[in-house]
Amino acid sequence: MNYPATTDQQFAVPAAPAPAFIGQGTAVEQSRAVAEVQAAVVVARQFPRNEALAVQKMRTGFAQHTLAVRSFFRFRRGSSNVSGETIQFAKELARCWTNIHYGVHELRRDDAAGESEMQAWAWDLETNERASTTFIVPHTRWTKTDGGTRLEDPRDVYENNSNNGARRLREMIFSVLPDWFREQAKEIATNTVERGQGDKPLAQRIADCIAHFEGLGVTVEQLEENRSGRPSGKWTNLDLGQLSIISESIRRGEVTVDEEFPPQRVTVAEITRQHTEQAPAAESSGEWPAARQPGAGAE
Amino acid sequence: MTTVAQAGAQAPAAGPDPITEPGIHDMTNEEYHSHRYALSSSGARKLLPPSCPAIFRYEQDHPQPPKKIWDIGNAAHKLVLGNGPTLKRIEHEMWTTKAAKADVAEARDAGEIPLKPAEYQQVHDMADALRAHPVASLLFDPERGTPERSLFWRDEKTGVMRRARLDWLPNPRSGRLIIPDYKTCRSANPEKLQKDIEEYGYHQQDDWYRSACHALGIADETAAFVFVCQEKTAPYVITVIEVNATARRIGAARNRRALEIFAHCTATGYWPGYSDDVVPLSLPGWAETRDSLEYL
Repeated sequence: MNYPATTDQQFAVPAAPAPAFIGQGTAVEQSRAVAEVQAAVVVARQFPRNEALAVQKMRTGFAQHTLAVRSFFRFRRGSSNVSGETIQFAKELARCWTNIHYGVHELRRDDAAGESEMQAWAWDLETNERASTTFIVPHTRWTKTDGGTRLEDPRDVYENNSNNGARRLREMIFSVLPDWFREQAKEIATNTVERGQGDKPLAQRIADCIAHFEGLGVTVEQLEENRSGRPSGKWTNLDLGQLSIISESIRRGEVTVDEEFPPQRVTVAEITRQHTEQAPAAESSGEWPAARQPGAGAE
Repeated sequence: MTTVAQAGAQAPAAGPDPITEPGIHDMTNEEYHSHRYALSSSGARKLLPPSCPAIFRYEQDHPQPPKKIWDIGNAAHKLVLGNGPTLKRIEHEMWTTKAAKADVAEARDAGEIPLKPAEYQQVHDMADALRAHPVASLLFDPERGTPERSLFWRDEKTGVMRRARLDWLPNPRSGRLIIPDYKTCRSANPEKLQKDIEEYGYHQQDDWYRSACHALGIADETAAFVFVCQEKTAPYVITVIEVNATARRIGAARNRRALEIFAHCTATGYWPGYSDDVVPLSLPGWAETRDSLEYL
């Protein structure tokens, strides 16, 4: 980066605009930031990534059940399900791929206008491929019933910003990573989810899964309906994997139990069955218990 | 139940003794409707947009006289459920003559439902069609349930007394309780019924009645509610519908809001209209778009 000292500076790149006064701490940080970036680039060139090693790391990472179940999200929008990979998935990929820097910055917050200007970026130091996006996050929350509600609590604003930031960041990371790398990771994570922890027999895991959902108020019939009517005895690893993703999404509040497992529907078969099983009541037994009659003090 | 509900409602000179204990009651339509301190499902709907508390209060204090349009529905309810006012066949095709009017008035005074000969035949044909329907006939099997039971219970959160008049209370059974409700409609086409759910608040009624059964220990959370919808014109087609989980959740939330409004208005004695503030209004969205393109 040497310039000939003798020539006048008329062709030099003009300096970036800077504030008139800079505090000492800021000045130190500025030069440190410049040095840091330069060093990162230089080091990245000196120690280029070993792609085979990166793939190896990725395989190990996504073979871990705890990471794999956190790799996918699922929520309901209108009448369809939206699903995809989470930010945790993207960050883990970037870590394995190495020599990637990424971040989210809040560039400006305007409390009067109720919005933040933000930037998410990801940078491959080796190839100098950089993806960044600048976007405005309104400090509002939208609900169908009440429309937009202004967020006043700084904590709400922070969470709203980091949510929006994380989603953009995920896309930025994906855009600097090779597609095949991401697809492979997806496949491995899906397999891990489907295989489950693997140290227990399938029947045991099915029983655990049913017990887990029982705690959420979901019956076996509802689970089976969710699995296209397959009886629980015939579930495969794939079914268990899907159910554990659903369970994670319920835990994170992306879907509600009712949305994923609609209450048991009334069918003609059920009505007919009840009718045949239920003998016509004699006058006395057709009445509801006395406790339900007026004045009996029923709660 | 709504059609039956409004028809017989006559303001009694004085209200009955309030029911304070939860329970299942056997009472006439008129008596049920005179318990106005307790909130009903149709009342809950009247408290919320597109209506407002002021309208609800007025209608409670000024029950409407029977309307001709309700007669068919009420008569059909009577025949299907086997309970309710007597049907009176008025032997006049037109009710414009003095004699016809006198007969109609006499029937109404006696608490009967006056019907033209053709209508009389129509409601009987409707009941026959229902009895011939493979599912509806099972749901309203006279040997496996009781028609028109009035349920009273207290809302735990607001302390408001609530009431519901079930078209049909099925007998205790081994499986979950499936509560049927009979509706007469212009069209039993599911697509048309979808609009009816919204317009007449079937989803709110669903939640309201299941809450009643739940509060009184008649049913648990698994109880289901189905609407048996029958067209009022030949061949009196029937569709049995169940509203889905999302609609029921919305219905439950609307009911909760209505209960809160009712409790608040009762406590303050103030029943507001649509808005207490100056309402800023724009053109309807479509008109604004159309005219902005044309004129601005």
